[in-house]
Amino acid sequence: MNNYVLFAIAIPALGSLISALFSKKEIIRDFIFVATSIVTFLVVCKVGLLFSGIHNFTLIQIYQDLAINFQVEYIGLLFAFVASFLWIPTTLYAIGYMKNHNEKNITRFFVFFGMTISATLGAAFSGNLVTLFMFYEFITFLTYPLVTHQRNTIAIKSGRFYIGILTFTSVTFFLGAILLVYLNSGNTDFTIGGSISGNSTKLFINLLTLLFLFGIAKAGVMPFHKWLPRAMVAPTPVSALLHAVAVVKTGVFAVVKIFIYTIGVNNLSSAIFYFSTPLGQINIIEIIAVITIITASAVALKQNNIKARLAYSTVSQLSYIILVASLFSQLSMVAAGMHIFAHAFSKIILFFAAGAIMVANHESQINRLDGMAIKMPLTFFGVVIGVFSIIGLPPTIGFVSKWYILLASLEQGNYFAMIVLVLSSLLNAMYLIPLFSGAIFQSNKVEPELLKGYKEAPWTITLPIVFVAILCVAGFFYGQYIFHFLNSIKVPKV
Amino acid sequence: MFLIPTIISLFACLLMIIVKGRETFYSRISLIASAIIFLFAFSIMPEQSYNFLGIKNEISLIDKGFSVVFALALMIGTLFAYQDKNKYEKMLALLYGSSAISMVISKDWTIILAYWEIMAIIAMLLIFNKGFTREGQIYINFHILSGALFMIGVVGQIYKNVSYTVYHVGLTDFTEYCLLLGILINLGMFPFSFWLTEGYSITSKNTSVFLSVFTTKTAIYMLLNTFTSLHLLIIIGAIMVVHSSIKAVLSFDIKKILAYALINQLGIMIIAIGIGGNEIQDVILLQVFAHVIYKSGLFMIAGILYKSTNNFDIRSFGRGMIINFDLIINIIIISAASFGFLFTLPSLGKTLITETIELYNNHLLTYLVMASSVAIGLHTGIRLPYYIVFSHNKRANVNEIKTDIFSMIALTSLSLILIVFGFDTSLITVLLSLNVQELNISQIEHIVIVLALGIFIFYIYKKYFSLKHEKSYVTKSFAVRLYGNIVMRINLLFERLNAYYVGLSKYLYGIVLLSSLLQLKLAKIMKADVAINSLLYFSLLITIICLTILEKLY
Repeated sequence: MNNYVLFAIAIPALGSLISALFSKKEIIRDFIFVATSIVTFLVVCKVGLLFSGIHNFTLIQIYQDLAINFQVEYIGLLFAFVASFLWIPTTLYAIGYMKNHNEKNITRFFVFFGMTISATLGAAFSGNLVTLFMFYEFITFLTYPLVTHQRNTIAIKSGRFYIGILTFTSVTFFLGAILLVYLNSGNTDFTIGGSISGNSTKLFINLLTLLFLFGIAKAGVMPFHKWLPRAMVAPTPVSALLHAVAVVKTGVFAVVKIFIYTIGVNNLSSAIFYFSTPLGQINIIEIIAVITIITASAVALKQNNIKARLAYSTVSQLSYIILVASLFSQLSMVAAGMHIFAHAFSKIILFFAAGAIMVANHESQINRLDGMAIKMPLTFFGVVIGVFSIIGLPPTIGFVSKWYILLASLEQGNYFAMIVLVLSSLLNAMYLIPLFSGAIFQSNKVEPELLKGYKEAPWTITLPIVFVAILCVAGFFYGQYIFHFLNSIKVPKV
Repeated sequence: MFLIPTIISLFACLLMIIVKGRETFYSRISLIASAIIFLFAFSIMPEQSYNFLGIKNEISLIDKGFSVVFALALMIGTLFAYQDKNKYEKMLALLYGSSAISMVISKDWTIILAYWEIMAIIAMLLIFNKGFTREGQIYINFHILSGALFMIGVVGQIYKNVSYTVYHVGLTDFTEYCLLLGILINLGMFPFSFWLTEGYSITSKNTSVFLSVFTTKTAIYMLLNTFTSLHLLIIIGAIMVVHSSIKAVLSFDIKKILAYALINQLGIMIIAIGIGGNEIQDVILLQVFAHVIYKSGLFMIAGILYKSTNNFDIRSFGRGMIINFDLIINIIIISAASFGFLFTLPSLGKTLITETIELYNNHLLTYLVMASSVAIGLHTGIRLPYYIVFSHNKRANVNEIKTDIFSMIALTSLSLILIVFGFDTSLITVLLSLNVQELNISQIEHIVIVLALGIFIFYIYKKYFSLKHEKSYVTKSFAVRLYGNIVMRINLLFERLNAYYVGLSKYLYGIVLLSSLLQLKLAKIMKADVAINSLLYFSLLITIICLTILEKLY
């Protein structure tokens, strides 16, 4: 099992480096790249098959207390599964996109892409805070060349902002929090029930939680969310996989994992500051998440660029996960895992579709999509499924995860979270439905010449869209299996 | 079992997508599919049980009755749309109706929730079918809000009872309030009613017929199954009745009038559900049946008129138009039936529901319902045929109202149902498995009161608003002339009322305030529930104040 974990982490980086050798021969390079993604997924599946309970192992012992540790556990495995699985359609999509969009330096792009996936899988399987931090920083630095891929002024400025805010928060808050944990407990390992010592003060736990929450800026909690909309200058495959699935999900995954395995759900629920209201106990993390959800949704309403709107939507959806994780119970952690899964599958479709529209019809503004669906039926099929999934309508996976979030908040008697979810569903409908409504239903108001100019994206782009969309619908019927898998985490009862 | 209607319609849709044929081919398929669905609904044996995922579900009489009503409406609506070329609309309508039927015969919270949301999506697609509009966006926004609230309620019920079966719900905790609010938003509750009026007023000829039937009636079904005899509903219903009566009387847009009349009827049904009682389910089923039939007829008429005139303003219709004689007959029958004309189907339902409300012994409520019946009599029973058939309108510039044979068949069958079922109540027993004979219907009393009120109002108007300059219209028959005369005078009154509305609303406060004081005194004498009475008055008062403010802002 140890070897398979290491293979899973190494294969994407190695495969993409090997493919760089064939940068002149495009067919071989693309083939290696697709093959790498499939092999990676198979290896992750093998880890999953061998998995029978939380498993730890040490790769390198640096000092007595400092080691590169790996750990295979439920949420990490699910996250690795999602990231490596969605990498396969993204690879196909990226090949189609980069060629048809006349991007340059495709080989460099693919190499950094594969290495980022390696780092993401490393973060997913990391066994202590130091390893997690290391891979977290790897992701930041490896995505920088991807964000600034176009090498123009905007891209470089955005890239500078991106790397600035991510490293600033991680070095000041995240690293500080790790040091605090180390000073408190003498190690940084992930152990179920929390690794910090039992007699820590309430203030310490609160401070630690906030440091982690703001330090992991990849989770997109306000006020450190701005990097995500700025990173949308990157080519669409990057936005799709990295800024909707891998990078941001590393952030929330890290937060959830730290809640469960470092601070401990028990400690959190007894120590966190909260206000008692008729609508349930509202704690500080919940307030931060709610502010992010509502504000980001409101900002998303104003955006006219598809990718910008989707970016703010992502910020808002990530805070769903933080919100439900902040309820601190068995069910809430499971629901957080479910939403990581559901949001990854639905948001990637929308980014794929945004790229497809860009490639086929060179359009990125929402108010100019009118009538496009007549010529792009497959793409807009995906958009409809993705939008329904994010709003949480049946028959999509989003409905299932929304169900469990509601169930978790009900179990804790937290009606405030439920109200926020209702409001947020409404806001989601308001800003996401225009993505397809004009395109599908407004064709009679567009000039026929303009309509004739539209065309569907090539098959390498539409195939991933339809594939993931079908899976998104299938998730509605088989979502309970993911629930049962995650439900084996067994967070200690309060 | 509950999946059968959905599967039939999905199969029909698949056929319509795959097989390429002429337009009539698609119409035939949709008609056949809807007929099969009707036969299925008709053949359900009540109290028949079936297993789904290990849970035993039982279909009650009411479930069967609702499914038959929906299937009938779906079939007639499909017949009405036969000549229309829009294949997409036919498919959506079929799916919409069949999911309503599926929802009604499944007694499982999760399935009901899924169908609840799916129906919202299909309705959105139906409205967007005519083009992306603000109204469609409003419609889906409100339905997503309602769906999310409903979902909270469902989660709460399942969490609390560890059971998926739907049964009566109290109003004890947060999730149950959410459930109630979710259902009431779908019913067009007072501050949230504009999704209904705005949404329905812009849709195409056939779509509004389908929309008027399914969404709100499934919500009534849910309310009936979950919140019977909840006194809060009386207040909510009363507010809806007052608001929609005033708005309907003052509106000139035919679809808005119909939409407000729809809300009005829903309000009365909500009041009756709030009162509850032993026979409430049968009463509501009968009322829903009557209402579905005549309301879809009225929406069909509105659609036919709109198609030829491109206009919703009833003032622009009139005798300048050439209307088929069969259409005139249908308009008169359906609009007469709509305010419960004697020996028509709605008169049964209305009498029963009024009796239910009278039994509650709250005088204001009784007057309110009576007044709203009079208002319905005025705005759909009298105004509509007046403006369409009798009014002497020189501005009417469209000459011919075109109809096709299929829509006329649909309309005529609705009129026939309204008359035949009103005369022979045993037919209702056959169709809905509902024993009407046991329900003690004393139609005459109600009708006499409404007629007396109508004559009184007419007398006052004749005396104070007599009009000399509009005498010139020529119709041969004396009876028609008399009818036209009555109708015209009443309408002129309302045109004036419209102009003086802002002034009038001040007096409305006074009237309501006075009546509420009077009523409080009466209530003390009658030993009625004072708390509910006073709440009712204050809420009515606030409604009227809000209305005036809104009207002024507008």
